[in-house]
Amino acid sequence: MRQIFTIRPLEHGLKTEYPSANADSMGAHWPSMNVRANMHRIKKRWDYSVDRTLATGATIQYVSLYKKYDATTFLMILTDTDLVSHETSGTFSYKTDTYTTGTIASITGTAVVGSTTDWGTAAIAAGDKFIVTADHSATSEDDVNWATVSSVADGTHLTLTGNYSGATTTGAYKIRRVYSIPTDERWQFATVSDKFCFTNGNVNVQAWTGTGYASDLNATYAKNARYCLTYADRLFLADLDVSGSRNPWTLRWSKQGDATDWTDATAGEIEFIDTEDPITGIGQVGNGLFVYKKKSIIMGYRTGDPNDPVTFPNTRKGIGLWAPYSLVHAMGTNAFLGEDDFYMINGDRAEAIGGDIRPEFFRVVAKAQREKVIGFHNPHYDEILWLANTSDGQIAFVFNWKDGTWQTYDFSSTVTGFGE
Amino acid sequence: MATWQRYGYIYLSIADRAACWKVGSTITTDDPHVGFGNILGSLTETPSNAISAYWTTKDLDFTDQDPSMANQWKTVDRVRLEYIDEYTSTPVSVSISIDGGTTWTTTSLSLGTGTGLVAYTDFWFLPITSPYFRFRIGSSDTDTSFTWTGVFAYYYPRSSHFKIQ
Repeated sequence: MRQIFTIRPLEHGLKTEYPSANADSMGAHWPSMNVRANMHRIKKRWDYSVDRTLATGATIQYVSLYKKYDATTFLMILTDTDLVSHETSGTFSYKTDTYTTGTIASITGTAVVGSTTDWGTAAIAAGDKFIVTADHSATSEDDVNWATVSSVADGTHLTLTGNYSGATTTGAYKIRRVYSIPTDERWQFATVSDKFCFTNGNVNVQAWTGTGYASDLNATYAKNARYCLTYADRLFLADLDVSGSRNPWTLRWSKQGDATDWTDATAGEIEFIDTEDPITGIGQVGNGLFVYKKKSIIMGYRTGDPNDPVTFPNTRKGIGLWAPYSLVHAMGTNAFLGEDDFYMINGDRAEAIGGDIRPEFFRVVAKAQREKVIGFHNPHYDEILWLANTSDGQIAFVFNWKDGTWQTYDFSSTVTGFGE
Repeated sequence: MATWQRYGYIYLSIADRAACWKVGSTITTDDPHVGFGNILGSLTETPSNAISAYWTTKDLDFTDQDPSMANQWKTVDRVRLEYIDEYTSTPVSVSISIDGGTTWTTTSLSLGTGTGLVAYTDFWFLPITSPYFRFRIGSSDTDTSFTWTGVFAYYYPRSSHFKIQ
């Protein structure tokens, strides 16, 4: 007699930890791809529509809302070379640090001559972008007239990589000082005291105020910081240059309410040298400030004393942030990839959450690729995505924190960034 | 296309927040975005790109619903898929593997008229006999999506399964 075997509800995305025989019939097997569990059903994953196309060769790393005190809101895009503002009517504009001192006296082919310019002192470098202001439509990027600097001879003479294509050869100009990022590193960003601050291990910490262009926040005390966070109305930096050399154990914070001042009594710094491994990230969990190393977590809390704003009474060793850019802020806590599992902070403890996916993740992601895993929060779909290079190409390991389920996604093109 | 689910949660909340913002140079919503190199995409439920999606069960011997099926041969000839009829002509393939996912026997159909109602469709197979079955439901398309709510495997119990050493 015919019988029926029911598989319903289809509530689990992937449950790879169960043995095959006599398995929970609602647990999908590896691989299941591009489906997500939702309300005990299986749905196709979200899709996307093209919103903007940035300059050829640009690599988008993050998208972030920047909300000012007056409620003005911008959508910022951080690429590997630029800070970009997402404009209305389909365009974008560069907010990258831009040099405009002096004027252009002449342009002949690739040779540019300046008047009262100081390109040498300003450290204009090969790779920076040049345009005469009269040729520039600032809200219709990528303007075709941007030219690339090949070399700088002195304060008033530079050479382009090709003949300047614009119609104007004198007058006001702009040189966009494009950024660089160390290999396998990424931007970090935070909004502090009404400024959009962003940094990576290769640049002075940058700030944009909503007008003009980004500039150095403080070229003496905020240099080459790999990580940043807003906490206690201050900008916190970690793993940065201290007195001219990198100190990966240092956490430094700005004046309360002023991210440009690092010498005020309410500013300060601390070195975490009790464990030798460097800081790999900083995050906020509830009201606490968590400093992550590869195999330990140091937990700090506010003191109420403006001159000594944070204390670090607790350290938990054994579990840490193995992949620096896997750290995700979601639901008021942190989630990340550790050495042996995915974790989410619950109170002051890191709880393993990767049970359903952990065996397959560590099977298909080589050890050298694990510390390159990057994480993003997608609150509209209750998801945390961790993107990893696997033996089958890039795969997003997706944790649905509402249902506690795992899914996996792949994409026709490599995902390089995320945000809202 | 049924759209009742979208009105309750996502889009209303975006509209509310957008109304509270003084818009600067850029933005009216807080839609999530994804970057593919220099391409910035805005996340959407509306399908527009080719996505190959599939959901695969483990190897099942049906014993979690009928313990007497342990070590029994079974013959499957039909798989019923229960779904919500959201789109017109959604391509769906149901596959069965009895070798741990190495080879698959597949039946493909085009489902739906976009009524928004729960529906079900039978996928028929030439009888497949094995102690274990792995099922895969897949859909690869550009402009349709799906919501699957249940799968039913129809089978005949056969004789005991044993190995002669």
